[in-house]
Amino acid sequence: MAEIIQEEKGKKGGKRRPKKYSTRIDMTPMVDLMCLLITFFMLTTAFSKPKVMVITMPEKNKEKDKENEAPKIPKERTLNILLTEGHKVYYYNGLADPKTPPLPTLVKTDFSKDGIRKVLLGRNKDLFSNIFNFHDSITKEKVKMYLYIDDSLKPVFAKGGNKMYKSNDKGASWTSIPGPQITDDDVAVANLLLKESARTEINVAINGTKKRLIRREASISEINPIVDAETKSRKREDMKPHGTGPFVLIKADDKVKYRDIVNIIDEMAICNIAGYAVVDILPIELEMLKDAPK
Amino acid sequence: MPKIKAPARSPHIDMTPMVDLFSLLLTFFMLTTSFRPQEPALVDTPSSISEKQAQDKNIITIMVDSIGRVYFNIDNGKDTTKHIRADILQAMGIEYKIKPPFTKDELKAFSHLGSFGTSIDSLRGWIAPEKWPKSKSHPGLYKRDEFQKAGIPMKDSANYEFKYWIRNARKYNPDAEVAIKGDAGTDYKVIKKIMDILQENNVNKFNLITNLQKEEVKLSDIPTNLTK
Repeated sequence: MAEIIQEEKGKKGGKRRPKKYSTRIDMTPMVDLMCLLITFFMLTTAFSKPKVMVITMPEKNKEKDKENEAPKIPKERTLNILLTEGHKVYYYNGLADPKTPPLPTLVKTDFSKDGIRKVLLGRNKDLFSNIFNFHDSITKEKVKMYLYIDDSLKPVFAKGGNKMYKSNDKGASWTSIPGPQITDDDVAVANLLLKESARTEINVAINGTKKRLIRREASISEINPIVDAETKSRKREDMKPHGTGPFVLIKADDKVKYRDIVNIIDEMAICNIAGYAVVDILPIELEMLKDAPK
Repeated sequence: MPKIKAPARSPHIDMTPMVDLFSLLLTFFMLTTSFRPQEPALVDTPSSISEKQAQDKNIITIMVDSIGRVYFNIDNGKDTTKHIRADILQAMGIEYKIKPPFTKDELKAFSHLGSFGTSIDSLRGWIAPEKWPKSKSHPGLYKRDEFQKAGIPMKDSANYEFKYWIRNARKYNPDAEVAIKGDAGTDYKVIKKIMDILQENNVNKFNLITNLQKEEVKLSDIPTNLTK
């Protein structure tokens, strides 16, 4: 019925006009929906991948033949860290052998900044400052004043207590350098870095005697390939004198929490300890822990 | 004086720029998203200074919660044509003489799932909890969590399932790296045991999952006078 009436009306009105619609669309529901979706994605996204700390354990020798025997570490370089319950850390230097008393005494420390880290940094001082200085000089883009010393001069330097003199560019007058004395490590680093071909000479006096020293400035781009080549060509035995850092043995008893192990390995990374291993605790060390200061 | 009339403004706000912005954000999130995997237990990892990122493919993840329950996870690897998880489950089923053997549907369902911590006997229930037969003590429907209350058995040597999981995982995906996600408060001996088992299977490199916490030492931190 209604339709009929409408038709009649339309006819009466003559011209039929379409109803005007606004060209605008109401976006509000769309915005609502998008808000919802964005919130969902934001909350479920895992942006940061988990971080991992890589640890490589010494391979276990399944067959007990001599070739697979664990490498021996010099006693002087060994630092033993014992972990026990209650986040306690003990350490001792050298070797605990029941056959050769007296046993080393355990020193108690903790995980704080002034605890085990100080011990490790102290033991690792030489190596660490070398590394740090080297990094520092690299970031300044130039490695300055590396001294090259002929092999024949090495013993003179090794004695220490030498004063070093540097000529100015004219090569005539002598000026004293108040700077550091040359150590064995300097010699080693200098040896490592310099190419035979690119040297300039300076004169140096050692204990009053004139010696010829060779000095140059090397830029970073020159050094890297040299270091690579040098380290590759070096035999292990040659490297030994420079490895002045300690070798840390980490031992934990049964009551230690996982956090402590991760903490101590992390300390190794923080202190730049080059050699460390997580090993089983010895029975004698368990005995030592019983008598240790609480 | 005639009143000055302010021009009438429509109360509607133009939403188009807002929609533009939102759709941009939405697209960004949709494309970058990688969903946080559902984990069977809450694990509070210890912190370290390491900034190395974990791999997201080709990785065996072993999770240990605060009371020492062990969960195991391996992904299907980079090669999408392989079904490493299904292969491992089938091998485990044969090794432990599970009857009836795992069906194709179960294998397929398993390969899409994640971390689990259940014994092989009740693994079927973990895969499809709704199909697990009801009992007098448990008349209702089962939930997945009810099957992993104990973790993967590895305590007694007679029923050393964890070892076989590792062995089979190594067999079917020898390239996979191993990540250990341990709770900071868990006992080290559990982690040690896991590492021992892994070493027996020639894994000597472990990725311990940690939180990043920066710490640095400077030259000035090095003690000048050494007191021993």
